[in-house]
Amino acid sequence: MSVPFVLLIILFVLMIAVGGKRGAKSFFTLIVNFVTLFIMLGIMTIGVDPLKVTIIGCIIITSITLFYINGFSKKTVSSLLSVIIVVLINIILTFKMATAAKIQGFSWEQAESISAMSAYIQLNFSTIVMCEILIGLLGAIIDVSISISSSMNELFNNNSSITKKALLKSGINIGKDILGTMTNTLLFAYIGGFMTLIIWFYDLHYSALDILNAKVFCAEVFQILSSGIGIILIIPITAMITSKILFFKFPARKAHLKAKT
Amino acid sequence: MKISFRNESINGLVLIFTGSSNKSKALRISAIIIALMAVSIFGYYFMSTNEAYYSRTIAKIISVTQTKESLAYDMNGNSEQIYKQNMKAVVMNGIHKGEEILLENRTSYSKVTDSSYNVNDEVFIRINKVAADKIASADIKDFKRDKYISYIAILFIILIVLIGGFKGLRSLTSVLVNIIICSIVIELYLHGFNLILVSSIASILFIIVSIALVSGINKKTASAVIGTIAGTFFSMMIAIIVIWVTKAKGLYYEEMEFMVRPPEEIFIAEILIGTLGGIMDIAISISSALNELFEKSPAIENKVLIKSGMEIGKDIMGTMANTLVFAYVSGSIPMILLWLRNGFSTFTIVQFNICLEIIRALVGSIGIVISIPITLFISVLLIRKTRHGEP
Repeated sequence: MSVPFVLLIILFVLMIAVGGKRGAKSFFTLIVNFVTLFIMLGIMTIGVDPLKVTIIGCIIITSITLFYINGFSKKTVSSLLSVIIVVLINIILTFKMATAAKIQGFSWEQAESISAMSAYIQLNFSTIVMCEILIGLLGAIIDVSISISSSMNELFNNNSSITKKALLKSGINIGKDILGTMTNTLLFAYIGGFMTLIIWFYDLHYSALDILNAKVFCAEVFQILSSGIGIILIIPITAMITSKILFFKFPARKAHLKAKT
Repeated sequence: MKISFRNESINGLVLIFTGSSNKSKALRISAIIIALMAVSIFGYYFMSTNEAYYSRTIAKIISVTQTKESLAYDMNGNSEQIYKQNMKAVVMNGIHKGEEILLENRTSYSKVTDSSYNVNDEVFIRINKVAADKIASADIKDFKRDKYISYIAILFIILIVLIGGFKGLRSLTSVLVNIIICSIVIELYLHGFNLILVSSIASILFIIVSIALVSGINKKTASAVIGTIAGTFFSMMIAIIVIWVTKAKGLYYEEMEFMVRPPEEIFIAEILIGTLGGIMDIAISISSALNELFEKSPAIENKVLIKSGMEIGKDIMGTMANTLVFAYVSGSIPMILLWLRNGFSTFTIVQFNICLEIIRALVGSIGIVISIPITLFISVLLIRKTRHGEP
């Protein structure tokens, strides 16, 4: 049995032992999301615009994660909307710069590992950079968004006199509390993958300025910082949307109630 | 003074968001925004005009003419249009400063290993021939990217300060401190120290610094720190035992690019550091929630505390594991696409290309799940101990 397979089984057993039914659900979501990601990549390779595939894929993955684990409710709908908005804002803020920075594809340091491959694959790698950034931050923004919206939902349900403004403010405060731990989660996850690169740079005797301009380094830094920007933006956006949606009353139902009385 | 000032800024933002206005708050926040903008414009300007600080020769492209070349065919039957770019550029630094030179570049649609250049782009050049004190021929070596890195870094800092306020500033500090610790680890390793040992010691530092900066120095920090250390230890034990028992079957270190050193050691250290963040997140959430519960109703029973803690753990477990999977796998997307387009099957790609990423994500997720009961146990223990200690 191979290492990944054994670890997968251990994770499954632990998730069920700790989380019971919800643990099993979390585990299957993980698998389904992973498969969805591969289907997305497969669709990209047959020539569909990668950015469109990524945006739609993000919506699908977010819906699966939110609705399957947490159910369909006002809080999950607010989180879904916030995630979509942050994905779009992130494209606006980083796409142009990521293209201009020419961090697409592979650098000469990586030439050896792709030497057996054809580079003429008719896929615009400048767009792929954006897909990479969006998929990398997706999990994190879903996490932050659902934490904020469910805490706001609790507040709203336990405190009927709370005003919209107070709710918004609490939402942002909760978000700020999560901000610190979430940036750490991503920072360490990325640093974990970053170490070989830095060691390699040391071995090549790169100067600090050489490293700052190297394609691989810039690509990594761009991804880390764009994820950071996503996590920050999701806080006020989720707080705003959740406070709007929680206070939103369906007009149809109101009319129906009026008719009843 | 400064601290309360920062905290006010977010209130100002909230008011702007909600549409109500408050004159003094609006003034304060606009002052902060103007100051931040001034600093960032200066920083960006400096990064775009810093050629003199480089020892490598830099040239700025002033004109580009692009011509079609023949189609390039590969072994899979794909064809792609190749373009040739003839460019004029001005040397920006060094003894040849101000000279005009001609540069050539070939680019394709996919841009997997090449790039296309535009007017005003700055590139590092290698001077091939000098005739009569002038550059006769030169090649493009690489693109100058510092300006773009500074753009994204400035954007990140502005947003974290504006939206996160004082807490944002604390997160920023913790990020910087952690980066410094990490470079010390690499530096020590390169000077011959044992990497696993150094990174284990550094991990304890990482944990203490990050958790203390995020939630201050108090009881819940203590239980979060102990919970994280124990959780990390157990998940690393699981990883090492699994690798040992399976004799590292299915572990292809070839995928680790840039390797001239023994990969096993570096991979273990990378897993260790990679899992820390997620485990800390879980430990902090659980320990602060339990403390909150206990402070609100000190008469609460252990059973109830543990049950609530488990509920919280179940809530966060799934999305946290998701976060790790996407963060790790996203980095391999270009490689996966390249392999897919080169006709490899998904199974081969998963096996050879992202098996290390999958292992990282799995060990991280195992760490997250295992830390839930561990932190829970430690938090309850600490809460009870301090209560008994109190007169």
